[in-house]
This record gives sequence, structure tokens and C-alpha cells, in this order.
Amino acid sequence: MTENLKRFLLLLIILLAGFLRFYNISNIPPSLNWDEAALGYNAYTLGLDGKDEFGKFLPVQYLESFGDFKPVLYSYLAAVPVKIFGLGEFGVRFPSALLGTLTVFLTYFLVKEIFPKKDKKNDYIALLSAFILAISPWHIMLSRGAYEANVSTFFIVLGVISFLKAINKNSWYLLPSAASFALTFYTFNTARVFVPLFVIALTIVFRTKLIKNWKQTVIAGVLGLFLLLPLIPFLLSPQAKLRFNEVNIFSDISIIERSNQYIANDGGAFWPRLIHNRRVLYSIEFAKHYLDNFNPKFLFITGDGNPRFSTQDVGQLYIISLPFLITGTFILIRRKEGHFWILAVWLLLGIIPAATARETPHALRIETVIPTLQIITAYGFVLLVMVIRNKNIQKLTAGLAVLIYLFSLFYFFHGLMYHFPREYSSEWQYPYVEAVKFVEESKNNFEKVVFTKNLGRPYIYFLVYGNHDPKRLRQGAKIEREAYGFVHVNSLGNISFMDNISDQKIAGNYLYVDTPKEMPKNTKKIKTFYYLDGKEALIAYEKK
Amino acid sequence: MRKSKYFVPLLLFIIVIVACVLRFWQLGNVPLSLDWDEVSWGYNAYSILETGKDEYGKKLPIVIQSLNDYKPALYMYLVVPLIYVFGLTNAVVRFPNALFGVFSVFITYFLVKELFERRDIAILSSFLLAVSPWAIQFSRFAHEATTGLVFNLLMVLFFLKALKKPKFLVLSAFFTGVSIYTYQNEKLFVPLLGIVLLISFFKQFLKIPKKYIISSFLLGFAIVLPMFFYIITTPESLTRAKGTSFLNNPGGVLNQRFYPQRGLDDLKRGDLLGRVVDNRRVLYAKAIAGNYLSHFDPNFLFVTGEKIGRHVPPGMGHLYLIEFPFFLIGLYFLIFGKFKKSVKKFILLWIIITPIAASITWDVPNSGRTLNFLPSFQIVVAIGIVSFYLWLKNLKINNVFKYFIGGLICIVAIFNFIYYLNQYFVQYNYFNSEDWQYGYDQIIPTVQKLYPDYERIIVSNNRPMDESYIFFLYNLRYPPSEYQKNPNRNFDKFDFIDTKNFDWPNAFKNELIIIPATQVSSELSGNVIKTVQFLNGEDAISVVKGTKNKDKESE
Repeated sequence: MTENLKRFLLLLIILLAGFLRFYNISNIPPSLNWDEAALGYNAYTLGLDGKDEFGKFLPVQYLESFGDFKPVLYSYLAAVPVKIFGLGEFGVRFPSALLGTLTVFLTYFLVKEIFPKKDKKNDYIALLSAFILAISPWHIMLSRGAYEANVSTFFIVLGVISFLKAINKNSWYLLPSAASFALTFYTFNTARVFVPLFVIALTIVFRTKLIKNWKQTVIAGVLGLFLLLPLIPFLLSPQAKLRFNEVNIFSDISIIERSNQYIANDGGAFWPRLIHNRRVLYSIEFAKHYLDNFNPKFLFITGDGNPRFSTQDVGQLYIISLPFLITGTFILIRRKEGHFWILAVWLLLGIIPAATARETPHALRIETVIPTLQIITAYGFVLLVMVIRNKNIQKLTAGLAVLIYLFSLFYFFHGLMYHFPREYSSEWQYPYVEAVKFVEESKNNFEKVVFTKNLGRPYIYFLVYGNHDPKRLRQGAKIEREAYGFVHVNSLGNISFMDNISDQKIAGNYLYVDTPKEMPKNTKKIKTFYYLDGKEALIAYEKK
Repeated sequence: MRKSKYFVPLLLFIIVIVACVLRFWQLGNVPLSLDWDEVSWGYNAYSILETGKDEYGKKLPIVIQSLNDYKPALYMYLVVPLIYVFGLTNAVVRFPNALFGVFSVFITYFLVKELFERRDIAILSSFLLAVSPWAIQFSRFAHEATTGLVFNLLMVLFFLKALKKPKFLVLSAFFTGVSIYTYQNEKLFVPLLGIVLLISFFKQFLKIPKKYIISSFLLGFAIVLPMFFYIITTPESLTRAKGTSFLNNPGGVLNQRFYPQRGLDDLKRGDLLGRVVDNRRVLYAKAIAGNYLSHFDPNFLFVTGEKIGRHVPPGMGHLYLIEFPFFLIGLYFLIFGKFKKSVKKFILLWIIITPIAASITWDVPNSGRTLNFLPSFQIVVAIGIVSFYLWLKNLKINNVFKYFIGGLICIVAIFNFIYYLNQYFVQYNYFNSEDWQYGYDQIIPTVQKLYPDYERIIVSNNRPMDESYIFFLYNLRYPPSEYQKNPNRNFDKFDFIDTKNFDWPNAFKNELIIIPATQVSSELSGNVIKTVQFLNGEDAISVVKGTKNKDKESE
């Protein structure tokens, strides 16, 4: 392949990636889900006066948000696009879609670093890896929403490329590598576990080279630590652990109960305490959650059960990738090309943080392993095709496989564009968009507006889809902070947010907005808000 | 290696003894009770012995209607002579399977030796099968898959032998034919296995003289013929295949996926290409692919096992977790190792075809319908262990280190084994007695005692008392000749009905009612005569008496 052809193909792939990530991003997914809305609103206020939504000046440790202590970087990245394009779906999702597209671009160079030998085969693998990532349903879904994970994947890939460049060429590349890895800490919780493990592994394997260039190594290390310094007090604080404890398997009481029942069934002997020790059961539980992420149905058929991460039509990977992934794995281990082991270490360590959580498999928490699977697939593809001796049959097979990929892409993207919004608008809190606009217009005609919390976290939608003025939240809002860190905003001006409105003894010239199930009798419906599939979601009413 | 020529036979002998102990010890008590299929095998065998006919009055059938699932009958005939000698007990019903489980261990040694021409892999495979949770599970209850497995192994073994001594092909054909009579699944699996054998060993097969090929084919054909006629003349017998296949009951697959709303939306938009992909055939294809792949879910194989409690004890997969790394290593060395190409091809294809039959059914992954994975997984793990051992031996590190690594793995493996034994023999009955439809042997003596005082005995057939009639026939040893006169499930004073909407206040004083404990409402609780508990303490089955006076009703 000539250089020009390579560049041209890469350009085509990037354009395709950009199209798949940006096309109609304002409407699909149909609206901002609450995390996107929160990141977006913080980006807005940061761009306005350099403070987060609650008025904290230039936060670096966390955004308090709903009490989930979000990492800060995404909102900083989104501040500029939100400033330019306005506070809406496009601006909020822009950083994720852009860095997602760039990850595809970087993947080409990552492959070049992992397989540094310059030959035709490695060119094909690099281009094909970028292509497979460009059309990956997993990566497209997560690039089209404001997902911190997607940004952290970009920085991880950037970090690895720089690291390998430092090993393969110039040690000064360790500096950008250290910076990229440090930035992931400000991006995504899972990366805070994965990146240290991964960096330790890289350091151990390349220790001789790193010691030889000790100057650059030390400077890079100092740079990394310096960048992490502001975050360390928070990482050691109890808030940082709250969210982790809530979802992790080691706080699951039912496992201890099971262990006790086993021991009771064993009778009083001492050895049962050994084999049915809760640590043994926790280890098995860990193995289960770890391997869950290799569930073939999750990977190849329906994808993550959460429609925010998957359209449910295709797996996290296309099924056509399956044979290539398997053969790629085996042949890669067999031929031990380049720094092949990095892919294995990356993949195996990348699953660990997700495996400690109860909810597995989880496409978002293991996004850190992108693009390893795509590279192994591309490798298997190229090596399998190379087995064919006859040049014509070789071209035909490769062409056919690419065609199947494009067909799979069509199937996925068609579903995403035309059916997904309708089928899963509830996952994106879609009814808020219209309901908020309506309430903002008519709230002054009423003494008070009572708005349901049943669909979750309504306040942020009033700030994002209604009047953006941060004073509404910072002054005169009723905010309640739980002991466990959760933050509840119970009112904004004359709008109150309540659970179970129909149970409350309240009356007056009020406007109520509630879910249809909770509607009391003797009311006058003013307006109904629908999900995209036509089901009623919210009803605005007055009491007679 | 300097070992006496008795060394390997001795090892094999020990392995067979281990297999026997693991399969026969406590056979009647763990699992603690017979499930519906086992009870049906037992009663039909009993019926054959007493009358020469099955429960429906069919004389020496090749397929028994049983619980309307039309089981191929071979297993029943294996039970018949045992009943004659030992009487009808739980252990007797399970005995043939336990024995066939031991056979499979024994045959595996010779099969693997024939394939790989290496005794280390052969002996290790047979050992791994002897202690395999998957194999032990299906050897310790009357499930016809184990019988089918043994005939498949014999079919393969003699096929391989025939490549050297052609006359063995006839034996292979014989076992191929017979396996059709063991298990529904075999009708699909055996032809696939035959094709795989031919593909893998085609060149050697062609060298077999024509006369053996033709005579084997004729023999196999002759054996299969009665089954063929049976299927043609008894279309109901295919209902089982239909009932378990989702292709005939597509609601579940289609409804989940917003079918046909998508197609309508596409049409409205004039999107013809979309109409093509939003098609039910695409959904079927995805469902089949998903079902197929579910059998390779590492959690199913190594950690959690399948959902049906009768197929796996709690907290276990179907293979040992410690086997997982060796399985991967073994797969690698099977592909790249110095083995014959035909053998590599055969083992891999064997693994690939096994889940095909199960992929068009509900209840996936299903370890019963894929029991034919055995012993291919054990062979792969054995290759993995041998390869790892050689790698470790030749590693240039201090010997102390090697012993440490080897010792550590052995300790974990032993731990894993003890853990399994405990889960199976100690924990299983406690956690899964409901899956084994426990309770009848406790409740029936009470019913027998009360029997003279009541005119009608109503028995529920609601969960967990599904197919309760066969449990009563079995436990009462009700004379088959009597039952065959009118085999419609109700017999004597017993009526078996759906009690979900039973009209309790109208149950007469002379009626005894046996229902799932969950159906005993508070107003009924005063009338409960006896309740049996599952081993985990939950109520299972209750005996309740009717209260209404018959005289008042007739007025």
C-alpha cells in the first residue's frame, strides 16, 4: 500500500467514525439522561462564572451533583462547546463524540506502536482496527452520550501510545504519557482502579528500559504525581468510598448468610469453616462477576441489558467478530508479535474494577478495555485471510467479511436511528423536556407548582431545559443532604419536587405534574406528556 | 519412563473404583428423591415387568408416552431386570445410569488412547471424567442422556478401531443405531457426530473395504428402521421436540423485541431496506445464535452452572473452576500442539456440534441436552494439564519454585474437589429438595392410613406437584394391570386436578385433599391434617380434609 492510499483510507474511516458519532446527535438518544444533564449544567455554570452548579469555585476534586461526586474533567471539556452551541444535547455530548472519533484515529497509531514492525500486514491490521472501532456499536453508543468513560478511554489510549513511543523511540514521550494517565483520574471512577494497575504492569515489564532512561522516568513520575496531587485528599476521603461500597459485591450480606447456612449444614466440624469461609464465597462471586463480562450473549447477541449502553439489537461486538476474535487471540499468543502482551494485560486488568460490582456485565465500566478487543479482532481477520493462498479468493473473502460488517452496521444503525428513540425514550427521561417547558411558561399563573420526583431528579431538567440561571439553585432552593451523601433538591423558586404527591395534604391554586398512575380523582387535566412510543408519562393537572 | 507394564492398568482400575464410589455411594439418598421423569421410568419398568405393557397399555414399546414427552424406551428396559432382582426402589431406578457413568469413564480411556496414542492424556481424561461434577450429576439420577453418551462413545471408539481393523465398523454401526433408542436429542446429535467422524477421518475411511461399509450401513439402517416407522405412524411423538422448541412457540422471542411494531414503522416511512432487517427471521436467527453461544458462557461452564436445580448443586459450575485455566491452555495446545490434524479437527468439531440440538429449545443453556460435551472438555483439560506440566518441568528456574507452583495448584485442585463433594453430598439436598419434587414418600403413608375413611382423594397437579399422578402410582406401587384399564391419570379414589381455583367451601367431609402448602389459605389451615416440609424448612405439601356435610348438599 502506498502512503497516500493509507492516508486516504484512514481519512475515510475517520469521516465514517465522525458521521456515526455526530449525525443527529441532538435527537438520538432522544434527550439528556440525568447524568448527562448534570454534567451539562455544571459545564454551563463553569463557563459562566467558573463555579459548579452549587457555587463551588473551580472544583478539581469532584462535582457534588446528586451526591455521586462526579469526576470534574468532562464538565470542563464541555464548557466550551456548551458556550458555543448553547446548553443542549449537542453541546453537552460534543466532547464525548469528538474524543470518540479521535480514539478511532488514535487506534490506528496504537496498533502501529504495538506491532512496530513496518510491513504490509501491520498496515492492514492498523487500518482494520480503526475501521472496526469506527463502526463498533459499543463505542458508537457511548460516544453519542455524554459519558465520562468514553473520554477516559481516549486518554488511556493516548497514554499507551505515548508510553510505547517512549519505549520504541524517544523516552521524552513518557511525559505526555504520564499526563494522559493522570488525567483519567479526573475523568472516570473506574479508571482510578484500572490505570494504576495498568501502569504498574507496564513499568514492571519495561523496567530495564525505564531504569536506563531514569531521568525521563523520574521526571514523568513527578509530573504524574504532581497532576494527581490535588485529587489525593479526596481519594482518601470517605465520600470517595461511599459510592463504591454501595455497589460492590463485598458488602453483599446475602453471601455471608449463605456462608453461614453452608456451615450450619456441615455440622460443627472445623473444616467446613475453612471451605465455606466467606472469603472463599467472595472469591467465587468475584470470579462470577469477572467472567460475566465474557458472557457471549452480552458480547455478541444483545449487548448490555441497560438500553443506555446498547440498543439491545446487537452485542457489544458484532457477531461476525466472533471467529476473528477467537482466532486472533490464539494466533497472537502463538506468534507473540510486537508488544502483543499489552493487549492481554490491558484486557484482563480492565475487567477487574467492573468485576467487584454487583451489576455485571457492564458495558460502561469495562469501556476501558476498548480498543483491545477490536485490535485482536482485526489481527485475527488479517491473519485468517492471509492463510488463503489464492490472491483472488483472498480478496473475495476479505471483501465479503467487510460487507458483512457493513451490513451489521446498517442493522445496528438503522435500529438506533429509527426504532431506539421510540422504544427506550423512558431511559432518557424524555418526557421532562416538554413538561419542563410547559411548567416554566405557566408557573407564574399559579401560586405554586408541585412536580413529581417519580421519574427521578427533576430539578436538573428545569435548569437545563428551562431557565438556566444558576441563582435559582444557589439562592432560595431547598436542598437536602443525606448522611450517605445523596443530594436532594426539593424546590426551585415556586416549583416543589415531591414523592407521592397524591398522599400529601396540600391544596391551593397549585399546578400539579405527576405520573398517570398516581393521579387522584376530581382533577382537571391540563396537559399530558408522552413517551415517544405514545404511552402517557406525565400529566399536568389542577385540583377542582 | 521406567514403569512396570501393570502401572497404567492399575491406575485405570483405581480410577474406575473412584468412579464407582462417586456414582454408587448414597445413590438412593442423594439426590434425596426421584423427580417426575425418574418416577415415570420406575413405574413404567415396573409395569413392563408385571404386565409386559407400559402404563398406557402398550406392549413392549420402543417409545413410552410417559408424561406426554414420548421418551425413547431403552433406559426402561435396563431397569426391568433390576426390579426383578432387587425390587422397585429409588436406587434401582438410578442404578443403570450410575453403571453407565462408570462405563463412560472406562471407555474414555480407550477412546482417547485411540485418538491421541498417548496414555498420559488418556488416563488423565478418564480420571477427570471420573471426578467430573457434570458426569457425576447425570450418572446419579435416571436421565437418559448418560446412556446415550455411552453409546456415542462406543460408536466413536469402534469407528476409530475400524480405521485399522475394518470389521469393527459393524460394531460402530450397531451402537450408532442403538443410541437412537436412548434419548430424544440423539436423533439430531448422532447424525451430526457421524458426519464429523467422516469429515475428520475421511481419507482413512475411504480405505475401508466396500463390503464392510455396505454391511455396516445396512445393519445401522435395519436397527433404526423400527424407530423410523414409529415416528411416521405416531406423529404425537414429535410433540416433545415441538414443545421444547421455541420455533413452534415464537411468542417469547418476538414479543420482547417490539415485533411487529418496527415493521409497521418501517412501512409507514416507506423504508423497504428497514423492512427487510426488521424481520422475524432475523430475530429467530439471533435467538438461535444466542442459545448456541450460551453454552460457551464461562459462568455456565465453570462457576454458576445452569438454572435447573436438578442439573447442578448450588454454588458449582458443571466443570471445576480450577479446570478453567487448563481448559484454555489445552485448547491452545490442541490447536498448535503436535497432534494429528484429523484428531484436532475431530475434537474441535465435536465441541462445536454439541450445542446445536439444544439451540432451538427453551431452557438454555442446558447441561442435560449438551451432556455430549463429555468427555471432550475433559480431553482438552487433560491436554492442558500435560502441556503445563511439561512447560513447568522444562522451565529454567529453581526446582523449589517448581514444586511450590505444582504444589499450590494441587492444593487448590483438592480444595475444589472437596468443595464440590460438600456441595453435592451435604448442601444439595438442603437447598434443592423442591427441585427434586420432595415430599411424596412422606405424605403417602399418611394418605394410605386415611385412605379407608374417605371416598374421594383429590390431588393437586400444580407446582411443585406437577404430574403428581405418577408419584402416587409409583409410591403406592399401584397394580399396573389395574391402572392400564383406564390410563387417564385418575385412578381408584384418586382424582388429579388443577386446584388453583378449587371451590374449598364445597369440599365434602368425605373428601381428602392434597395440595401444595402454598395453596393452604388461612381459612383452610384448621383442616390441615399433615404438612411436609422441604429440607430448607419451607412448607411443601399439605393434606387437608373437606368440611361440608354431604347430606345438606343433596337437599
